[in-house]
Order: sequence, then structure tokens, then C-alpha cells
Amino acid sequence: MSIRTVAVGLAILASACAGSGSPDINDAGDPPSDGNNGCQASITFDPADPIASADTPVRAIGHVDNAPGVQTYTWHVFRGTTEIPFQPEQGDFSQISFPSPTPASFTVYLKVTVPGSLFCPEASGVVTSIVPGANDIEMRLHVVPPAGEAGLPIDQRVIVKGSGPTTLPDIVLDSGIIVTGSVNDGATGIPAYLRFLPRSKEAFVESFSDGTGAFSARVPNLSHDVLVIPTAAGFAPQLIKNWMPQSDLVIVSGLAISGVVRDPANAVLVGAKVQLTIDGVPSTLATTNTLGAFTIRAVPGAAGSTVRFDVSPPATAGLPRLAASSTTFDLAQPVTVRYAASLSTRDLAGTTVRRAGAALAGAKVSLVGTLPLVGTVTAGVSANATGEVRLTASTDGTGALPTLRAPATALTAVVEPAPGDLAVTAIDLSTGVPSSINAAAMQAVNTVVHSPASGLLEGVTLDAIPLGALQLAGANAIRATSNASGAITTSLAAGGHYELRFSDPGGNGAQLVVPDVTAPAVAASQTLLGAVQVNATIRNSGGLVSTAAVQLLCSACTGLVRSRPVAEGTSGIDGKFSLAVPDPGTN
Amino acid sequence: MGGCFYVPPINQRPALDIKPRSSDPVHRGDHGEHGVILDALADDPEGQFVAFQWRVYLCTDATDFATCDQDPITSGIESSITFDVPSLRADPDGAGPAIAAPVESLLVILEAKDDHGATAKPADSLIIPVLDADPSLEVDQHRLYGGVIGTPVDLFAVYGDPDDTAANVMITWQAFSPSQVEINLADIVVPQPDDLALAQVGKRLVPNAIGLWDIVITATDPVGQAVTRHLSVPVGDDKPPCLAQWSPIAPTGGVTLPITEPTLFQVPIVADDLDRFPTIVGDPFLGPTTFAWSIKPPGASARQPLVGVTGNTAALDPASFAPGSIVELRVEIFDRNATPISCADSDQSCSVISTACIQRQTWHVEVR
Repeated sequence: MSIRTVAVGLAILASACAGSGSPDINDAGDPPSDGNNGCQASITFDPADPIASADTPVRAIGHVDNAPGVQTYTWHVFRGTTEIPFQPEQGDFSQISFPSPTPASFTVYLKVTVPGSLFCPEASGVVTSIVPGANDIEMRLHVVPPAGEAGLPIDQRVIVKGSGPTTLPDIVLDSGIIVTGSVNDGATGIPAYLRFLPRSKEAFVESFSDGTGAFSARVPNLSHDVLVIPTAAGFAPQLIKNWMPQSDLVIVSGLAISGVVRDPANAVLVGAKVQLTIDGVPSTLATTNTLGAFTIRAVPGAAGSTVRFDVSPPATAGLPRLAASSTTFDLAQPVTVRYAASLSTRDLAGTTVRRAGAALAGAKVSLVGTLPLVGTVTAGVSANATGEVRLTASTDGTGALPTLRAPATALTAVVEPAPGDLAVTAIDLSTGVPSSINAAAMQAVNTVVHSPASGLLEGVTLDAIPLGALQLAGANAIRATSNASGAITTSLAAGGHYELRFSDPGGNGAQLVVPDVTAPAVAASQTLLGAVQVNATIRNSGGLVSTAAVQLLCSACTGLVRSRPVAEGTSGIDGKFSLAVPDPGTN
Repeated sequence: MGGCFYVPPINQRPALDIKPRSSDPVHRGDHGEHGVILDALADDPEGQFVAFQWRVYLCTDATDFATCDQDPITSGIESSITFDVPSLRADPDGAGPAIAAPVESLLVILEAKDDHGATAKPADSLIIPVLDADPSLEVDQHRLYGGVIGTPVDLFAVYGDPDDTAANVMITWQAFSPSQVEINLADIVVPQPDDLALAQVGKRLVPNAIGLWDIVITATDPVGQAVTRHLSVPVGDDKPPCLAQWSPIAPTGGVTLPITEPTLFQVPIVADDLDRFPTIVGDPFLGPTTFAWSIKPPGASARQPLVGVTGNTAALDPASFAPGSIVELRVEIFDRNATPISCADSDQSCSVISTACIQRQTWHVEVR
């Protein structure tokens, strides 16, 4: 185990001096640095979130630690780039106030001079005054610096205020440490995928250990959780909690969990894939043998952990995927996965896929759907299982489907005659098999995009994100871009549901999200949302950081939407970025 | 009868000379401690006191008094005279100032008279050549788009002249292509320097050939003193774009990336001369990156394009595939030149120009 320290102390110091009383919240929750006992200055504001007012100024309060004697305070206050006057609020100038009659961001610098030769680094702070009654919204700021020495990614919550720009305190990237070590079971190195999860889980760092178990990664010099997914057989994926970068990653083989999978006729189901997750950490993956039996390995969690079993039957069975969760499963007990006896299947062999009456040869057909109850999973206790149908086949030269068994229930067929050409059709197998499936042609969508301030916008991107059946079928998002007339022309799957996201890279408006829409329901005109700017400067211990990827994302969202940026850009050569996000407005 | 006549001695004229106190050359605009100091040297045979009368004229050519101002710039009666050297004559047309003409020489006339009124004949005169200072000239370039052919390169000249002022300096530009063909430059508006003694002008080059362009900038003052500077402007072709960041991690060497939940595969940044991502909108020379995503599902023999997926992201839901299967997801990027990515299909990544800049990335994903 070796370790190389890379100037983390300076980064922490810079972070601590970046000012407090600011509207952001650091997910990392790093404590203030006390690593050096020298003079340290900082600034707080009263109120911390001021309301713009002609009557009430903003007070800046200087704090100095580890400085003896009488200190001299020198202040500079900038509104944007313009220095403005201030008033002393204490005789020693340790507190000042400045006017904020209208909403604005202020950057305040404090230089403290102390007797003797003791150096006290300059402190700075940013405070933004808002309009009375301004709403705010929490977002996630995700920053990934360029590869190399620039620093580690961050992912932190920020508060965006309504009706005015939000200037965040400087984003100071931690240089981290380069840690090399080994993934092993105490004796033998193990190849694995590694995800280092600092306290801000979404600023994770990925790496792999090689065949000898050796790994290297640049990580924060902080306690981590580390997700280890061994690629060698016999070891369960596991989450190592509170790992410090100075130690190896020692893993265990995990608990062997055995069971059997039975079909609706109570016969053993051969070739089913079985795995589980414990609080989101997966197990190994097993395939049932000729006896329907499986053995997987997992690392049990604490009492009350949520255990979820997932079973994917062989496609030929025509059964849905099965999932059941419980906090009371006893994993020491044999596991029985049982499909409901009431579950039957039908074979669509011979069903022809047509478009406008003509058979479609070579069309990919996905039958999808969700079922509320498809069986049970028993491990000490029994839990009902939900089902998900995702079955696929392609038509032959005559447009007819080969054998394709599917649950005898109401499902949806997603037909793809050619890549990117999709149609969504309801198909009810509860009473029989249809002789044909109609795949309607893609439906044209024409819309124009306006800026909130009026005017047509060129270069606006439309991301049509599949929902429902299309999402289950694995369809991907379609992107189109507005032309010089602000017009967007694209095609969407007939019968398909989409979430539409209109984004302007030029920042003339904020992202407009149309939540669930079909092609005919797409409005002929779209107006982007009114925007407010979110600004900040990205630094590391070496100075400004340019060409860092910057994204602002939905903080409350889950799933893939959580990864889709509301606005994105890069930091400029001056380390600054400015992104337009929807204006939370005022109440 | 004999006698003697008293003949008073004949008063002789004083001899006269002018001696510069310094041998340094005189420049236009010399003043203060750099001004001119001349001493009169008189030798009167009778040792009488000699009174002086100095006159200094600003001239174009002091050998021809017609090219000198009618009135002296200074005069004096002391044995020494000190004066500054203006840059321009006062009345070059002879009847007061009309058109400023540079001072190119000085005519100094010194007259002397002794106590008996004997004047030095002829009056002594001295022609002092006045040198002209070169204009100052600093040049710079700003390759707005990295010096890519067909994109503008702004050229700047900051100039001044200590004796003629920047306003009287003429700047000329010549732009030569790598094959020595001269092309015209367009004017651009540029800010003026804080130093009021300097001025700045700018031109825009839009190169139409690859190679080293030679920009010749010459500053010429009214006297004809010229200073020439060269700017070498390297102009290159529009290189292919580079994947600057991607996520998630793309393991190499046959290692697969396990994914357990729907994952957004992203290319947050593409570096390129002109067609970058995130796209910069509204710039007449910049354009968007083109993304091409493809997938090789389990068991497929060929990669399938993800039609319509033209953005910087592609989602992959592991539930769309059987657990344990291997899926290959690939992104390739193109700029406006759409340079073909010529590597073998089996190559995980590809660079058409160097190993550091890749246009293809492939994720080998294990569905969990």
C-alpha cells in the first residue's frame, strides 16, 4: 500500500476561506480546516439571505482566528465587477454594511493585518440579495474537471433564488490523493470494478483492480464507502463502508443463498437468471440448473435492509420477469421463487406485423408490460412479486413472428421495422392471439421554439425521452434541433409517450419540460421558461480551472432523469461558468 | 622738422567659436536635461569684454536658410545657451504655422561685439543636425479559432513616436500567404491603449491557405523613419474533434463495466477547433459536434446505429437485456469535416490523428 499526497491541505484551506453564510450547501459536509494554526479570516453575512431593500443594508462580519493583538481590517465590496462604498458598523471596522436596494450578487473581500510578521490570508465571501418573496429551488451542481491534476469531481446541492442571478461562492476542487492498493480477500488479489463513494455519493470515482487486485485512483482523502463488484467468480459484490484511502480493500466471499425457481405449473424452471440486491448492492448472478436450483452470493446487510429478488426467466418460457422485495427475508433459509399458477402464456407464432396493410419483414417486436402480481418469493417469509414483460423477437421474411410466448394479458407491442422507426400498439393476449399487429408509421412533429422574451430561437435541442412502453422496450431518446426559423421537425413513434425537453445552449431561456405527451399532442409552439443565471468560478489549489464540465441537475429527481442536466456548459479560461436555469419566480 | 604721430592701436575684432557641451547627437524632442547646451568661445586680442548674441533657428535644411523658421526659437546674450529641441518647426511655410514640418537641423548664429564695438566677422554659425527618433511598434495576433484555415485571425499594432506623436505615424500592412501571395486585410475596431502616447490599430486576416503566413507591419513617421515588424501566423487545417470527457468509466483490455441500473452514458465535453460540445450558439464560425451512437446487443453480429440519438448522451437500461449478457455501446464524434473513423470495428477506441485525441469510445457493459 502506498500513498501520495497532492496538496490537499491548500485546497481545504481555500475552501474554508471561500466564505460562509452563503446560499449553498456542501454535501460533503467537510468540517472547517484546522490543519494549520496560522491566522485565518472569514466572512459571514447578516442576514445570510438578504432581501433587496432600500432601507436594510447587508452587514458583513469579519472573523479572525489565531491572530494576536489588534487587527486592522481592510474591506472591498463589489457589486458585480463594480466596487461600491460601505459603512463601518464597528469602530475597529470588523463589521461593515453596504446597500442592496435591488437584487444583486456581492463579492466581499477582507484583508486582515495583524501585528508582527504573521500573514493572514485574504478572505472572500459572496452574498446574493433577492427580491422580496423570491422563491428558491434546490438543484445539484455537478462539476467534473479535465483529466489530470485539476482535481476531483464534485456534486453538491445549491439553492437557486428567483428573479435574479445566483452567484455561488467559488467552487474549490479538492486535488485529492492518488491512492494505490489492492483488492483482496486477505490473501489473494481480486479483479473488480470499484466505485469510490465519498459523502457526496454522486461525485463518485470509478476504477478497476487488475488481475492481481492492484488498483490506483485519485480520491478525496476522506472516509469513503466503496462499492466493489468482483469480476472473479466466488465473490459477492459488496459495499465497504467507511474505508480510508490508506488501507487495502479486503472483501469477503459473501453468504451463499440457495433456492429454487418454479413455473406456474410448479415445475422447476431451468435457465432462469436469479440475483438479489441488499439495499441496492447486488449479489452474484446465478442461472437455475436442471433442478431449477440456484446459489448466489451476497453480503448481508444490517437488520431491516431491503432485500429484492429479481428473476429473469428464459425467453422461451414467455414468463414475465419477477421481482419481490422485503425487509424481513431470512437469507439463511432456502429461497423459493414461485410463479403464480394463474399465469398463463400464449404464443404469437404466425402473427403478422403490418404497416398500412403490408407485411413487415425483419421487424423487431418487443412485447412489454407490467403486471401487479406474478408470484411469490419465500425466504423465511413470503412476499408477493410484481412482474415486468420484456420479450423480443423479429419477424421473418413474410412479416410473421416466430415462436414468441408471452403472458396472456394486456400488453403493448413496440415494433421497430427499421432502426429508429418505432410504433407502439396495444395487444391484448388475455383472450387470444391477434392475427396481426399494426405498426403505424412514425408521426411527424413540427413545432417552433420561442424565447421567453419573444423571438424564435435557433439551435434549441429537443430531447424526446421515451416513457412507458417505449422505455420498457429500451428505446432511446431522440434529439432534434431548431433551425434558423426556430422550427423543429422530427418524428415520434405512433402511440408512444415521451417527455419532451427543450434546451437552449445559448441560454436565451431555461429548459422547458413537457412531461408526458404523444406526437399528435405536441403543441405547435413552445416557449422556453424564463431563466435566471447561476454563476460561479471554479478553482483548485493551483488557480482557476478551465474546461471543467458543469451541469445543473434536478435535485429531487430519481432514475435517469436525475442524470439528465437541466443546463450544462464548461468553465471558461477564467474558470467562470454561467448557466441558465428555470426562474423559481416569486410568491 | 621731425615729429611723431600717435596712432592709437587698432581695435581688433574678437575671434569667435561655438562649442557644444556634449558630443551626443541631438534628437527632435530633446528637452530638459537632454536639451542642447552651447558655449561661446571668444578671443579678443585686446582682452576686452565680449558681448554675445545667440539666435537658434529650426530648419529643415539649415544650409538653406529659406528652409528655416523666420524667427529664432531662442536667443540670448550669455556666454552659454541652453534650449530644448522642438519636434516640429513653427512656421514651415514662412508665415506662421500652417503645416507642421519636422525639425531636421538647427542653425545657430552667434554674434559677438567687444567693448569698442568691434564685431566678430563673420558671425559664427553652427549647423546641428537633428536626428529623428524611430516610431515604436509592437504587434500581436489573436487566433480566434486556433488558426484554422478560413477562420479569422485578428492582428494588432500598438505604436507611437516620441517626437512625432502616434497620430503622425502611418501604419501599413501586408499579408503574404505561405506561397507569397499578398491578400488584403480587413479593418477591425480595437480599443485604444491606456497610455495616451500610444495608439492601436487592428486588421483581420482570414487565411485561405495552410502554412505560415507572414504579416509585415510598418510604422513610418513624417520624416520617413520606418520600423517594420513581422508576424508569423501559423494556419492549420481543421483537426478532428477529441473526446475530452466521458462517463461512466470505459475499461480496457477486455474488462467489462457492470451496470445494475439505468445509466446515462455521456460525453460532457468535446474539444475541437470549431465544433465543440457544449455547443457555442450564435458564433458564425462555430458549429455543433455530431454524435453517432451505436449498440451491439448480446448475440448480434453487427453494431446497430441508434437512429435519432444524436445528442451527447445515450441511455442504457440493463433490464432491456438478459442479466449477465454483454452489450457494447459506442459513441463516435465528428466535426463538420466528418473525417472517417478508419480504425477496425473491433477497436474499442480510435484516434485518426494521435493517441491522445480519440474520436471513438466503446463501453463493454455487463448487464447485472
